[in-house]
Amino acid sequence: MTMVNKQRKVQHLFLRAGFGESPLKVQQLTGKSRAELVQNLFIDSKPVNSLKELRNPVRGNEASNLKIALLILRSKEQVKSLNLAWLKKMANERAQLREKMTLFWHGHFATKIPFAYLMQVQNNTLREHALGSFRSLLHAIAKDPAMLIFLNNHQNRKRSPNENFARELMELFTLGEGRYSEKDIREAARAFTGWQVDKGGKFFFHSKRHDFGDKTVFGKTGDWNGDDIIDFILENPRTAEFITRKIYAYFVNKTANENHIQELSKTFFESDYNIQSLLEAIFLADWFYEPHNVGTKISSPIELIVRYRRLFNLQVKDEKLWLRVQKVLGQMVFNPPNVAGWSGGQTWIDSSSLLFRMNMAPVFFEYGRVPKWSNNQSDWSAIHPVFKNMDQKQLITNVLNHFLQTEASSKAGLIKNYLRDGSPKSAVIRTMMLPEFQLI
Amino acid sequence: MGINRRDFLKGSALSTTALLVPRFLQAFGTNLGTEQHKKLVVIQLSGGNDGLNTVVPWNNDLYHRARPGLGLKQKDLIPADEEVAFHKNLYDFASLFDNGEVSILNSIGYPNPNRSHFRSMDIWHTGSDSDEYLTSGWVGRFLDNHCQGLPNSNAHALEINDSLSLAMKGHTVKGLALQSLEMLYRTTKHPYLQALSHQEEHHHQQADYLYKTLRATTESAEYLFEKTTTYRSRVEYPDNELGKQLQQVAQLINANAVTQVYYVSLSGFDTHAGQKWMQGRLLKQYSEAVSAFVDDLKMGNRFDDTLIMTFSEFGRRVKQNARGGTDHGAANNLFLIGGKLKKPGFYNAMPDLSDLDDGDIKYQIDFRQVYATLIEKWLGHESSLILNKEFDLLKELIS
Repeated sequence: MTMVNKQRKVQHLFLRAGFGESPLKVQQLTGKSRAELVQNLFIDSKPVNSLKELRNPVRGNEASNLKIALLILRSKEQVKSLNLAWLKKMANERAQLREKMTLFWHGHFATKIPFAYLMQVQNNTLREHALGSFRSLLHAIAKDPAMLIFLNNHQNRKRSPNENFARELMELFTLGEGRYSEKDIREAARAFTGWQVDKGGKFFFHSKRHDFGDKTVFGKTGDWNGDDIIDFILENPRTAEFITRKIYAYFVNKTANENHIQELSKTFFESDYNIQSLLEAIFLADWFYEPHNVGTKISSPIELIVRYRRLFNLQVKDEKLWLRVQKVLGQMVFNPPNVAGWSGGQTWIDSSSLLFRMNMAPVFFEYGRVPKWSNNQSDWSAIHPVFKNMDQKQLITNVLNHFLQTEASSKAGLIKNYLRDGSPKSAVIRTMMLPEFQLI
Repeated sequence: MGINRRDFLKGSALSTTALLVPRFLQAFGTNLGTEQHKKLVVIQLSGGNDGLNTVVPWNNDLYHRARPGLGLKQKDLIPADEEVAFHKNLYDFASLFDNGEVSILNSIGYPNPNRSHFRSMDIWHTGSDSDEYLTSGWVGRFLDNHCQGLPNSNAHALEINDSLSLAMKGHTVKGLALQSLEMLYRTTKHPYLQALSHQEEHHHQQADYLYKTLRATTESAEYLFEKTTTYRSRVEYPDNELGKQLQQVAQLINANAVTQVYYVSLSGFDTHAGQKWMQGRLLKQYSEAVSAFVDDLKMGNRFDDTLIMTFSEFGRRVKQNARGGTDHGAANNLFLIGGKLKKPGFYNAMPDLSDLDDGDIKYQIDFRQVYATLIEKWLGHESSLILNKEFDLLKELIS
């Protein structure tokens, strides 16, 4: 493997911590130090700009049953606008890392309920805590109306406890399988009895349905409530390790390096679950930029779509096109496959999704005969200036370096043979059609 | 049905010698199992079809009491016997039933049923327990276990759709999804894509995976497209989505393509309101499309080698709701259509409406028993490898 040059390292940081930067921006940033780049990422992501696509449909304190039925009927359409609004935000927002991390938590705490407004509320909760404390995030998500509805906690009552939330909390959200007993789950479920959502769509504690008796969880006995259980879970360093592993797989590599995991988990645990410190440690580490971690991630459909939109400031005539693209590529935000979220990696790729990915560039920028697609406006001003006054060989080499994260100089000859003309645009399109473009 | 001379020559004209040799050898190998000529076609009714208004217990008072407005009366029905009748829009389907070409399996489901569409569909696709999350599908695991390493391995399971369903995704082999074979073929014929698909030797693991997928796709597209040029269907299909999908499937089956499992779907069955009209329209589409499909297979002499399974992710509540519809339920009926059914007609009793689970039909047969039986008795493979555990096979279902 060859060394990763400075430019590719900068691209690596922005592709992983965000959705990629344009060649022009990368050119401007390549002179800056790693520390400065990472610091700027966090500064840019300081502001928390909530999604405000939907208004709270409930006026007053509660909705009638009829109103609730109507909300369910309307939800499907509303979720579509919410989806598009978030996609737009990811494409335009300066706080790239915050949006990226919100997307991570969106997959981690995968939820789907037919109340669009509550999905927006949850999304904003995830965004608010995205880079803060995992402790606060976990406490907030356990009281999040969408989550409680999704995991049937309204059925979790003193007389007939429902274990769904307690189980997913331990198995998928914190400790991971095998690090708790069935008894821990049964008893923990009792601590969450009466944690409900009222008819106004807000969390409320239904004390009559809560079990105030003693429970024994992780060997501790007492009249615990849900918050106590969450604190017990966080006292266990295995929780820090579980989250670190998942963040590592998402930002660094699906194949874990145990030394890095142990070191990072320790930092995460000792910082009392400070997400920002964990990410900082990753982005500042030398190993993050080593060849085996660069260009080894298959971009998720959302990463790919947002990258396109950011690179070209792509404006399509009918925004609904983005819903179709998400569907065909196999990832729609607010529509996770199940409570375990998207499994990612090679599962993104099958024959149809790969062909679609490879054809996106020509369909958007080349073919005049697909009006739905080509009726768009793309802005190449952050691309063209970087490649002007180059001969063909230089042009192709530079385009490959700017658009790919893997060494692909052997493809230069092939691209040359299939260029439409000598323009940078043509070289960019052919490069984006390479399978390697899918790797970030 | 081995490879005939014509196929052989065709194959050699298309592929390089290097590709031809393994294809030639493997086609006669043991890898394929003995039942490779048998085809399974899965029709998915998405949204939760109301099985009770499809196959109707028309003389059951409990049914009419639970559905005072929605219950179907004699004029809306085609009686099969004293107890059971079909929705009147299932006219063609009822004829197949009368011919002894349909088995109706009642009360199919799984323990602790989930009433969310996407979760329940997930369970049907992966064949998991209701509290288990699998990342591969049952057809996908069939590919993993039996088609890995074969030429055009991904073409052994084909979905007519713009994206590939979880059911079709294995860990190492994933099926092929296409909306139109001709479109897929034309896309892969783009000279630049062709050139890319012939790029070899990628030391980069992920890049290698992508190039391999690309190559497998272009090869399978070419193989399937070339196959179907030999056969043109002469049957007229109804002008609806399912009809178009099944027409492509018939063409491939009749052309003797290597594909063993086909997956198609019809959606819109989530009838919370205005069910009568919506479901009626869909059942008509289903019945007409399937009937044309069966005619087509018969003309190609392939009906006896084909088994069609129709399922939905759940049935609906027995009681109608206040909006002329029904809400999400649990167990449901499932249909098998084929020329070689061992026990056509009603495989088991109609659901007991006096013994419900919180207002929903209780399951009597686990859907994975159906899968297991199809895998073992029809496709001729060990089912526990594919379903991750043993399920009791259904006796006297298929020969």
